[in-house]
Amino acid sequence: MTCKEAALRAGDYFEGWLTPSEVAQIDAHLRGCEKCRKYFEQTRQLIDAMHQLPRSDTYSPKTRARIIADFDAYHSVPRILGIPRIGVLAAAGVMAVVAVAVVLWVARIRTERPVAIQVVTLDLTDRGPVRGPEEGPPKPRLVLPRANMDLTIYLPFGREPGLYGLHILRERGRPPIWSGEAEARLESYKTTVHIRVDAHRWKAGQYSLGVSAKGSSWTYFPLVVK
Amino acid sequence: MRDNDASLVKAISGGDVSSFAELVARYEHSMIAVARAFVRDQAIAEEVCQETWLAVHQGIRGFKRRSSFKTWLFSVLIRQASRRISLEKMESPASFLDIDGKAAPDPFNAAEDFDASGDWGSEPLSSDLTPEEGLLAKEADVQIRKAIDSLPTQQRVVITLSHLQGFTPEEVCNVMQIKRNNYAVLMHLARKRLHQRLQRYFRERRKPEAAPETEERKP
Repeated sequence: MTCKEAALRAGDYFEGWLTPSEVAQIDAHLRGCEKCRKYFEQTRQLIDAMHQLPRSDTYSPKTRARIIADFDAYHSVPRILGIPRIGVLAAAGVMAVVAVAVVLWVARIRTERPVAIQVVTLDLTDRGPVRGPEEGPPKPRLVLPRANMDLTIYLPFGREPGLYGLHILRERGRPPIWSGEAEARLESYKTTVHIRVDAHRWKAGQYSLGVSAKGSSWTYFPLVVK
Repeated sequence: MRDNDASLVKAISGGDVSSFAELVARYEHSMIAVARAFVRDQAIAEEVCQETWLAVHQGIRGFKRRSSFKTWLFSVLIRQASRRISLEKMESPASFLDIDGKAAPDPFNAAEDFDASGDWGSEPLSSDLTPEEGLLAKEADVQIRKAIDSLPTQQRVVITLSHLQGFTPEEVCNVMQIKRNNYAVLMHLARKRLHQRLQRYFRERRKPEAAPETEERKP
């Protein structure tokens, strides 16, 4: 054992924290080391003097009363796992509401019936602008079902194939409730557009179908959804 | 855990105020002494103790009993005291006790008392300046208290826990979150400083022409 090893254990030696073998090692070192004997003697005197110090540290009566009052106040509030019960109940209520909302939302998604896709055709071929008085019997109303549909539109005669903008609106001047864009092609001598329209949530009533070749003005056709 | 700490701790978890009062009384002296090792001012030390007991109420359910209640209680106290002192000095709480987090103090360099082989490099504390009867005299109590108060925080806390409050080395290390070799160095440095300060006091006192002043003068 070196002097350093012995000296760093001097406090524990006099406090009685060392094992018998550690004490024996230090005793053996002290027998042969004058400097350490001197150091240990001084350390013993200092520690003895510290042990003699009066233990006068106490709380003031006011502090003691406060500590007890804090304890009473803490335990007077009903708690669940250390958290005030009212807080736990409030949190549980919020979580329950959220859970019910999630369950309802999931249930709605799961129970919503799949909507069948209908194939619908709108024939606008003879509804282009005519010069002179219009002849022939009144044309039937254009009708769309309240459904999701693969819509085929035969554009009025004279319309060129190309890119067309389409939209459906409730009233002129208001934003459309649906809009899309599709390429018109010649099919059986008719300029034809195919486009998907989801109308199963629409209300029944009068609408207008707007058609516009890319960059041209819009032409509107009255439409009934039912 | 002390024999009946466990039963008292169980009782206070259930709100038993008489058990709590017993526990408060049991650790009152030690807690206020350790708090004063940090903040010195008696009123602030008492506030730190009060805050410690509040933290105990809130944390008692999380106390896993891996350590003794005493060790846990004083760890909480030291955290509260460090927080308090850091609030006042605008420093990180860790800076007062985190000696393990810094470059570990090398016992040789820190103590500067030993050579590379572990032998005394300088003369150990001389024995003729602090007569035992002088140290044990009543008036010396004040000087010893002053000497302890003059120590750096870490050394003051380690000396208070160990020599004044009887904590075992393991308890001191657990409470202060320090390693055993750092504990030993802190203890050695603290005792050395105490010796030096007390030696100066007794040297002054033994001079016949010396004024009856108790404060030492700076060399």
